Amino acid sequence: MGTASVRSRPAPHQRPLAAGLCLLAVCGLLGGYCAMRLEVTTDITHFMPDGEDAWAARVIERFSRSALGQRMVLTISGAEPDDLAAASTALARRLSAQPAFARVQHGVAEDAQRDLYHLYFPRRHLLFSSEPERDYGALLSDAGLRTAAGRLVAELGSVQGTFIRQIAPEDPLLAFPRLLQRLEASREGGLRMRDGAFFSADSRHAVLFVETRASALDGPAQRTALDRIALEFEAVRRAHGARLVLERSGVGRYAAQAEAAIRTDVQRVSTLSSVGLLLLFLVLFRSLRALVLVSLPVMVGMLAATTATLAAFGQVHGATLAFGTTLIGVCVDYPVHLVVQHELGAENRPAASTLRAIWPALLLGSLTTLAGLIGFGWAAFPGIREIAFFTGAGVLSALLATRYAVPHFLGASGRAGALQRRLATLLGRATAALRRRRALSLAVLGLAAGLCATGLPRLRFQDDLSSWVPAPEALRAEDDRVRARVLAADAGRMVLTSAAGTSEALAANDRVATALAQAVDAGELGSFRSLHSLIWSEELQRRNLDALQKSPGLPERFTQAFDAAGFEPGVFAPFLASLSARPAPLELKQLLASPLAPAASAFVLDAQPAPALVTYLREVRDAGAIERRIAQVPGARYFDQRAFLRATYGAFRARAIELIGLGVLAVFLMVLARYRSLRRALAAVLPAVLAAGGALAVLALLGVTIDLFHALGLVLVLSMGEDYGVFLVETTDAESMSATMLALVLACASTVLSFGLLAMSSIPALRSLGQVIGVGILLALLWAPAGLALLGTEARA
Amino acid sequence: MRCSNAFALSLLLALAAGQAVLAEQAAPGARPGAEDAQVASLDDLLARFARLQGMSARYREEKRIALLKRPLQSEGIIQFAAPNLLLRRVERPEPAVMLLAGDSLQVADASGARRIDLQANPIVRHFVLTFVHVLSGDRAALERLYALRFTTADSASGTPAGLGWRLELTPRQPELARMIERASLIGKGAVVEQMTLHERNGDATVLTFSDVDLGVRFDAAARARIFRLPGK
Repeated sequence: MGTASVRSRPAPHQRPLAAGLCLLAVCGLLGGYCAMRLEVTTDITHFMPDGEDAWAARVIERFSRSALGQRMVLTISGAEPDDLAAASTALARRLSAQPAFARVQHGVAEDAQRDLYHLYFPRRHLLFSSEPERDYGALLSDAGLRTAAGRLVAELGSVQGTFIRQIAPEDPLLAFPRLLQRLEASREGGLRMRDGAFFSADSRHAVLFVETRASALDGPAQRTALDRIALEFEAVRRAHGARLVLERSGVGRYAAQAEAAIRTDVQRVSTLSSVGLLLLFLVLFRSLRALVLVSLPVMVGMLAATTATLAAFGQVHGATLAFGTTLIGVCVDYPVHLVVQHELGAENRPAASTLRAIWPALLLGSLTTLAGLIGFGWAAFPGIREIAFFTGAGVLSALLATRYAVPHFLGASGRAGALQRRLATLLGRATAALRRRRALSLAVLGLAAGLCATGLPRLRFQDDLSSWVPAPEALRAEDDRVRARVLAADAGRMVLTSAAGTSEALAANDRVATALAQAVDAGELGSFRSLHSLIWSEELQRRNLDALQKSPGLPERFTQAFDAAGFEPGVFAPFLASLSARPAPLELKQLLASPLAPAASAFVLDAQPAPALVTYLREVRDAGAIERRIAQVPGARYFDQRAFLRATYGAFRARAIELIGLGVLAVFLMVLARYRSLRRALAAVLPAVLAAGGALAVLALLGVTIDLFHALGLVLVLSMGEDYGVFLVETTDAESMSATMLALVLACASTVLSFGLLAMSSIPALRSLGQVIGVGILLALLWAPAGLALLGTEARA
Repeated sequence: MRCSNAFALSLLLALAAGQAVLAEQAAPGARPGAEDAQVASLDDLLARFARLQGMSARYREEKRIALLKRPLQSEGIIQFAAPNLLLRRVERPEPAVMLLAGDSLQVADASGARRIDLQANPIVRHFVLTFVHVLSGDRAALERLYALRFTTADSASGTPAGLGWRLELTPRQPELARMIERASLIGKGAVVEQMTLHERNGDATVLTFSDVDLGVRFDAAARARIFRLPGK
């Protein structure tokens, strides 16, 4: 063993300068490529099986990027309605001037009613009834005409008489007022109008709708938009009254809060982790060089993985970056093993010699990690395949960095300090003692198995996305208050309608509206908002016109009925002339080009192969009944986004666990092929499997529900646990065993400090990851030496 | 065209009617007969309007509409409770109720009940404000919305000259002026006998009042019982 470490010149055969330059050049190339090509996606379809319900996933994706998904609702209160209207107008004007916002709507323009008239009055007869044959049939019968004439007389004498008098010569059947009433009833959220501004039904809150340019899921961009809203509102408050209160609702608020919470947590944990690692390496190695050497392959691995993924897929998913970089953390085992073996090795031993001695273990360790990812590579989920590719590229790159770069920076061998040597000796003796007491070792393994048998049956799973990054209660409460003021639809509950073309989609949407109206009548649903209130299919519009124009003898019977009711002869000549006209049906593209576009576009999602039409549901009381009604309409589907995502992530989690099992089998077969000995294979693999199972068992016994993040953390536990087993099985002499055990302890401590501290996070998703990794890695370290008992007295093949 | 303008006109009529008959109320403590005294000026008239607390009267309305061979006629009751409750109950030809409470207008007839949002239309609000200004005797505010012409003249009932008066309101707001040519109130002493609304399209509405009771007072229970739609 060497003496205390002294800063020394590079050992023979080490070329730190050349290696450093090469490394810099390689990293520079990789980094440059990443910088130029980096494109991170959050497309949820990555986490859905290929071809299965991909349409629904695309709709969710489009929805999150749509105007509606990027919309926030603002309410202003704390003053008289006149002042609120003025403040609302002022805030809308200020926000409209900001580039962060695509659209700001705080009311209806003065000329909106005129635009409504020009768009709908010429088509009043085409939009009369959803059941034109029935309703026109009744209206245009002799009795119906007499009733209509009497009604017109009454309306002329009513509070709306002046308006009725203006349209009566062209619309004596009052089709246009009927249409207006339908449009009025469909106005979003039961909002009222005052001085051109939207107000809640109780007139106590002015309402604004704000659409951000950034995706609702872009946390930083949403934070910027929210900060801008706060700033502009403060200016409005100074000008219009200090008592004004602003409240907000929108998906973007949750994204901004989640991003901020995650960043705060990760920064906190990273700080603690960094301090812990620094102290650990300073205490053990009395220098930070070892920390740098250990980190080097992991960093190279992450950079190479990102580059390879970009080159192969054109983009990298955010989840791949998050999970993949976590899994690449397994590679810290390789440089730790190399550094410790070299420091504790004989003096003046070339680094290449140290590397040669442990290279089979490093290679097998990395290959088992790759084997564990084999199942992932063939998964039906694109996201899993991408994670597997990313991790595989990272592990290989880290291994190559360990093989070709790290040795050049190791310096002279045998420079371990007294603390290192004492620890290594202690660990070596403990391992040897455990190995001599075979019964004790087997008892430890039995305990591990018993832990699994006790805890695993208690496993409970939860896949609710909303629980992964929960929002503060105050945020939810404000959101609920604002949504209640605008009578917003139930979040994520809707009917999606799609067809080969727009006409077919509108026809299906008509049938959906009929079905939902029946659901409302049956008490299954509170209300719904549909594009059907603004436009019908071309087919339905033509049916209306046909029902009117094909009524037998209508001009004569109409004249007779209205003359008898007391109308002057000839005053309805314009109406009678219109009976032979064939106005063109209202088309969706016309509606979307009209001043009603902001209202209409909320119901239209740009999806392939045809736009999807969205109907929003409120107060769903019997989801099953609604789903059965909608199932009768071809092209329509009841959709509960939350339930859909929960089922999706649940399937993803279950599949991931299955693939992990497949990976373990692949690893075992690989190790068996390497050693050609069942005992050695079991000694290398079994402790890792027991550690992974034990981690889940401990969490289950503590009442923790298992989610997707636990499942993914298992991959890291298994990979590192298998490394520990392989490193131990590959170590033949006692001195090397001491160094190997110290390396395992150091690797374990590094992993706990890097990832295990996430167990302290306030974010449930991060906490899950930290829990399973922290517990699992510790158990892997405990069980691995006991696994040597399975070797018996068998000599290495 | 705005449907809300139509009922705005009706509000004009209904509220003006209420105001008109309210003008008959004697001031608290005033000697009987004081209100029969000649109205000397518009300010005098507006001051009398402002002293109202409650009112009940019968009305007869005749609408001359170009579309119809014969005028539409209706009869009913108008009730008013200061400061802003007005109920118009149509008895003939078909029962109907119109209730104005603050800035909320509700209508109930054979086709059902509905609420009309006055705030949705500035034109309508102008009409409501018109009679708020009349009630408060705010001549300056009235003159912002209308050109006012007040003259003394013989009454329609032939009262000796000197006691009759006529008030004409001509809209200044372009949107109002497009629909309404003028409104005129004719009365004698402190009583309005007739109100006429002339529309640009030639149609006209004439309201005549009778059986006026200016001594009625509506307490909270009476307001809740009377000023509501049928069935509520």
